[in-house]
Order: sequence, then structure tokens, then C-alpha cells
Amino acid sequence: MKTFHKLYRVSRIWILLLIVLTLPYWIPNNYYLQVANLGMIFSILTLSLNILAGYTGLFSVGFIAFYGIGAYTSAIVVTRLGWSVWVGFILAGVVSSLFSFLLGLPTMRLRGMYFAVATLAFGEIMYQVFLNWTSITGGTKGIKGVPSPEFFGISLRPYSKYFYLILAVLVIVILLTRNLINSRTGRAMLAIRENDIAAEAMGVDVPKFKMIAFLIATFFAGVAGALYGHEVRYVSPESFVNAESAAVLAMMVVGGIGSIPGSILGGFILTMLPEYLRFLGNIRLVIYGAAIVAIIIFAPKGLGGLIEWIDGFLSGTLKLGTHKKSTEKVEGENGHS
Amino acid sequence: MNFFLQQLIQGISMGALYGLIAIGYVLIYNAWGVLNFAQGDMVMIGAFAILIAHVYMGLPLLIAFPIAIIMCCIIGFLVEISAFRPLIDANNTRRLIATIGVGIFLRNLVRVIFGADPYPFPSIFGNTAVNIGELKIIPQNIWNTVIGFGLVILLSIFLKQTHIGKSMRATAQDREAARLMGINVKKNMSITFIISSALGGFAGMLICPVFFVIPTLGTLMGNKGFAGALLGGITSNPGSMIGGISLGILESFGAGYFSSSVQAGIAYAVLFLVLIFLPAGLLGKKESRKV
Amino acid sequence: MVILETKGIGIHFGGLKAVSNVDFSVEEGSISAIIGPNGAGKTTLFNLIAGFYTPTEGTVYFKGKDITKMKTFERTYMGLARTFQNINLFRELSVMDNVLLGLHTKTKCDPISSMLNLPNKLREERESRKKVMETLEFLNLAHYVNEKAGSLAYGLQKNLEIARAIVSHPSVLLLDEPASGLNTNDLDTLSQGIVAIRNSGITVVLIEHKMDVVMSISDKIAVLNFGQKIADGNPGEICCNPEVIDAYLGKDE
Repeated sequence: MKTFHKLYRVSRIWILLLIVLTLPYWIPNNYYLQVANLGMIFSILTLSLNILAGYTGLFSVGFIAFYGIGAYTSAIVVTRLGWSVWVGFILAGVVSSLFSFLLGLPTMRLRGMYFAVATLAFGEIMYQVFLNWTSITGGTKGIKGVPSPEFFGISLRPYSKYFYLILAVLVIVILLTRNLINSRTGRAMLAIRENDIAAEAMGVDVPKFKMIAFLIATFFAGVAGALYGHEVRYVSPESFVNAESAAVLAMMVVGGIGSIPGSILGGFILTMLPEYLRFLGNIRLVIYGAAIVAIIIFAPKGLGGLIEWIDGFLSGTLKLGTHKKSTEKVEGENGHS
Repeated sequence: MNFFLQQLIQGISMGALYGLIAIGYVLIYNAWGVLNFAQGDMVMIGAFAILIAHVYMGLPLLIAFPIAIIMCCIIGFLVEISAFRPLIDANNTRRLIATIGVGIFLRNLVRVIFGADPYPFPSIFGNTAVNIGELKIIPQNIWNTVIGFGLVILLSIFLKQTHIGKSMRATAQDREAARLMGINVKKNMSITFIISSALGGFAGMLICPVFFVIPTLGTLMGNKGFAGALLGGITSNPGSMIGGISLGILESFGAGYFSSSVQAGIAYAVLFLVLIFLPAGLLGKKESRKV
Repeated sequence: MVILETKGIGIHFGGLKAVSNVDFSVEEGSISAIIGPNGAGKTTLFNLIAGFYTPTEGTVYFKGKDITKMKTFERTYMGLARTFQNINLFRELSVMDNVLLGLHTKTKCDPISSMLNLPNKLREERESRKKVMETLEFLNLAHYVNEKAGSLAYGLQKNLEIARAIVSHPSVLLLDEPASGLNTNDLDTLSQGIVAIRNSGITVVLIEHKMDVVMSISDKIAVLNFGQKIADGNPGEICCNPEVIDAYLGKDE
């Protein structure tokens, strides 16, 4: 048994990598490949929402707006100004962060609930901007013909090739997030989530670190938006309506608030699942709503908790009973803002 | 001058409804300490409840109204026991997310049942304008104002004069102290929730003659009600009525003197400005922190 | 040399004067205590010193500088650390992370190098973790380094809060009722610990109800009652001051 655990611990990352790298060959057709790509893009978006909500405790309701800003920024500079797609990706993140900076300046000193409301209003306003600022965004018609990037002369247009670009970005975002959490900045963010009074007593400049979390999260969200625009090659307002914010929220909750593997799975599964459950139609969102409530109540750690448990079991580091104890702690944890 | 008065009356009548929605937010915020993102959807539930009772079942309004209100109370109660009570000790993020989940659930459930298309609703008090002097007055608007104010006055009498109302206020002020005084805190929080749901639903019933009945009605009205509540200071009942009416008047003038696209943005502009410059609102208490 | 001083400080909440016109000074390298009946305004005074409340009157000086208008976190940067009466730990974080947060003011790695794991971040992390382990060993917490703070027993949580406050080696440490909830055996350890902290060069100010602890370790004691300072002096002077005895025995009632 011990050798098995050891084998697992050494090989788990490679097995995972092998599965992921060969994924395009397993997926039956182009359509599902496109959905898988979207799934990974939503994984990035969910991860970035998690930096804000899961790690810093700053809950954003209109988060899809930053994804939209990224998608439009890249689409506009590439189609209108003819800039390189790669520049578009970076600019998407930068512009998205810029907006969050402007929104954050007045709202970062507010308490969490007010921040959520401010982002809700911001989401609605951005949707109206996408819809009505026709000269720049193309209004309801959107922006067509967003090109695919090229990589040293190789077109990344086929979904099977674009897959690897998204995968690379996803891996980078995962690594950056993980490093961030295990650092001074990341701990300051966690401290704000846990107990802002104690955080201040530790010398944490609370508004400043909230802002840092906001900038990082929206940068990633902007890049995810750009990836989306160049994947579907078309950007229009209805991709960024409020209901989409709800979907990303569901992804984060199902995945497990504050869990990196959870965010990835949550984003991926909740994007894939509806495609297989197409016959359900609008019931999908009803189920989302009910699932959000149920998971928040009964399994606040979501899929992430399950993965941690399985991983702990297979690698032999699982202490019997610890999982149960720690979830109870979450249940009994007292409200604090 | 006439135009000004006309817009003012229009604004107050809409604002009274916003105020009614706003009070629902405030009651729940005070009692539960959480912003109920599903409050707007109770407005929508109210509108559909009266649609079912009056239009589908063909009941006369005098019977349809009570039935619709009871429906709202029941749904409010179900929401409370399924999504609020289990999370009473959870942290704010989780509670906030649960209320958003409830909103998504209600909105889309209604969409699945009734479709996304708008339903017209017959006028209750008459939609033909009556000329009073040079003013054109729509009876529905006057009645909305009267009923809106009436309900708020009734609510404040209930909270100040009755035993149960007093203990509800005590619960909202300090849950722990109320518990020590032998007040049934759980029951009071339930009642508060149900009353808030009913008030939201009532606003929805009053809105349907002047608006279409659609599943997204809740998001729209909820945001306006919330802007009103925030303007009033989120913790104050009279404040939320004042906030709601101010918002209604602002919108009405925005639409009258500028354009209707300006009107749509006013609630969000108010939200932003209040958050930035007046976080305590018009009548709210400045929040003191417990260290 | 006086390191911390309040002059005529006071605050009222609405009509209630929680603290009024308090002059309080702390000598560098000493152990000072603030005592007084419940509701006398002791914790409020701490909150005024640490910057959680803004005083309505008076000034606070720290290291000779007027810090009355400074934010809490800026005061922490200047070397003012504290613990809380009703433990304010980061409950869901590990013991290690909690104490690492105590080093926030002593570290400076920026977000970008943090995300990229640049050498300066790795070095800082390594050094910080080493320092944390030393502090945990000093307070007998090393065994629990990977436990969640919220899952520790009450006494350990109190210790952890002290570890978090002293890991940065602040100039002044404010302890708000460190002995509450501890049993008699632990009280001696606590007293010795506080003296050891002082001997390591940290000036200590404590609020405490357990008079034997206060009397045995304090160099100076200030007594608050109804928000006002009614006496101060060394333990010998305080224990036979008639006003103090009245305050504790409740002459008015």
C-alpha cells in the first residue's frame, strides 16, 4: 500500500498532464472540441473570480463585465487597428484591470456587501455600453471576423490547436495563482477574507490589498475574455449579460470557493454539462440556482473538497476523520465581515 | 409648470412602489444582516401570483389579491427555511451567494413555466387619464401612491404598536439581547422575512397594470428598489420610502426632460453616487465596528 | 524614556463618554497594566491607542510622534502590536500562515515577484518561515504548525495570538486580557512568558483582571473607572489606594 501511495504521489502530475495533453484526440468532433475550449476559458474566468471572492472575500456580482471588456478590447484593437492578436491578449488584461482600478478607487474602502452592489451596477452599465456604443462595439451586431492568432507561422485557428494555447494560459494562471497564495500578498488577501480587523492589526493596508486582488483577478478575467473572442471569432453583447455572471458564480460555488482544482473543474464541467443536457433547455438555470443554494448549505467545499479528499486518499496523506472535522468547522464558522 | 407637476406625480407614484420594494430589503437586512438579492424576484412572484389568480383563474380582484398575497407569503416562507435559516451562522459571502442562487432559481423557474414573453395585465383602477384642471391624472398612479404609502404607514404602526412588531424590532436591533429577554428570535426572523416577501409581492401586483409581467421584472424592479433602499440608508424604514420616492422622481424628470434612455441609467447612477459619497444614505446610521 | 503616551484622550459614542481625558504613559522596556472594573473603558483605550477608534479629544504619541490621525496599519508598521480580548485569529488559516501574517510589516515582496516566484520572494519566504518556527518554539506551538488556527484549544489560540504579535519584534505589545480563560497552572507560565517578552526588548502594556498576575509582573499600573483614570503608580501604591478599592468594591451601589 505504501508503495502505491508513493507511486501515486510521484506520478499524479504526469498522468494528469498526459490526459490533458491528449484530450483533443479523445474528443469525437470539432463541436465538442470547441465546447472543451470554452470550458477551459471558463475555468480561467472562474479561477479569477475565485481570487477575488474565494481568497479575498470580495464578492463581485457583475464579474462577467470584465470578461466582456477583455473580449471587446482585443477584438477592437485587432480588427480595427490591425494590431497583433498577442498584443490584444495582453491589452485585454490591462484594460480590464484599468476599469477595475477606476471602479475600485471609490469602492475599496466600502464593506463587502456594498462592493458587491457596486459591481452589480457596473455590470449593468457595461452591458449598456456594449449594446449602445455602436461606433466602437458594433452594438447588437457585435464585432465579426475576430481573427485567430498565429504562432511562428502556424495558424491556431483549428480548435485542436487553439486548445493548446488556452491550456497554456490556464496552466500559467494556475501557477501564478498558486504562487500568489503562498506569498505575503496572498496571505494578506486571505487575512482580509478571514478577519479584516485582525488583518489591519497585522499592518495590512486593507483597501490596498483588496485593490491588488481586484486588479489581478480582472487582469485574468480580461485575458479569458480575449481568449473567448478569438475562439468564437465573434463578440456581441449577449455573451456578457447578467445571467452569465450567475453562471460563473455557479461554477465557482460548484467547484468550491477558494479551491484552485475546484475552480477549474467547476468551470469545465458546468460548461460541458449543458451541452450534453441540451434537452433540458431553460431548466438548466433552474438547476444552477438550486445547486448553488444546496452546495452552499451542504457542501461548502464543493468539488474541490472532493478532489482534495480523493487526492489525500490516494497519496496516503489523508488522516481519517480530518476531512469531516474541517467541514464542520466551515459549517460552524461565524459570520464576519 | 404643468409638465413639471405631471412628472412629479408620475415620479411619486412609481417611487412609492420603489419604496415598498426598498422596505423589503431593509427589513431583511436589519433582521438577517444580509442583503437579499432575491428580494426583487419576490416582486416578480407577486406579479405572476396576481396574474394567475386574476387572469387565469378569473377570480375577482377582491378575492384574487388576498390569494396572491398568501401565495407570496408561502413562497417567502419556503425561501426562508430552505436558503436563509440553514445559513444563519455562515459567513457573509456564503449567505450572499445563497440569496443570488435563490434569485436565479425563482426567475428561471417562472421562465420555464410561463416562457420569457411579456404578459399584459388589465388595468385595475383605470388607465385612461382623468383631466383635473390642466393635469392628466392616471387613476392607477394615484392608487399606487395611496396604497404604497398606506402599506408603509400600516407597517410602521404594526412595528411600533403591536407586541409582535415590537419584539421584531428588538430582534432586528440585537438578536442576542432579544434572545436573553425571552423573545422567540427564530419566529420573529421568519415573520420579518414573510412580511418582506409579501411587501415585495404587493409591489409586484401594483406594478403589473402599468408594466408587463415578465420573469425578469424582478431584476429590474429589484435593482431600483435596492437603489432606493441604499439611498435611504439601508437600515431605515422611513429612509427607504424617502429613497424610493426620490429615485422615482429623479427617473421621472430624467425621462421627461431628457430621454427614456437616461431614465434607465438613473438607478445605477444613484447607486454609484450614494456608494461613493453617502455610504450611510440619507437616514441610515453610520455603522460602527465592533473591535 | 516614554515610548507611548496619551494626553487628555477621550471618545464618546453618541452621548456616552466611553473614555474621557485620560493621560497615560508607558516607559520603554517596562510592563504596564491597565486595570478597572468591567466597562471602565480599558479596551476602548487600547482601541484608541491602536487606531481602531478615532478619539474625539486628546492626542496619542508613539516614539515621540503624534500618531492620533494615523491609521491602524500604519501604527503597526511603526512597531505597535496587539492581541484582542476575544481572540481575533484567522481561523481557517494554518498556524504557520497566521504567524507569517505577523511578519507582514517586516516583509516587502511585491505581488509580481510573488506570482513569478522570483528569487527575492523565495528568499523572503524561507527567512520568514524560519523566523516563525523560532517564535512558535519559544511559545511551545511548534507542534501545531500545520493545524488550522480555529481548531486549536482555547489556551493555544491565546498563545498563537501572542506569537503572531511578537514575531515581528514590535516596540510595544498591547495585550488585552491575556489571562482570561486560563487555569491557575497556565497563569504562571503566562506571567513568565510576558516577562520573557519584555526581557527580549518589547515594551508590554496589558489589560488584566487577574490581580495576582498584574501585581506580580507590572512596573506600573493605571486604574480606569467610568472612562476616567482614577489612579496610577507602582503595584504597592495601587493596592492600598482607597479610590481603587472603592471602585472595585462598588461604593456607589
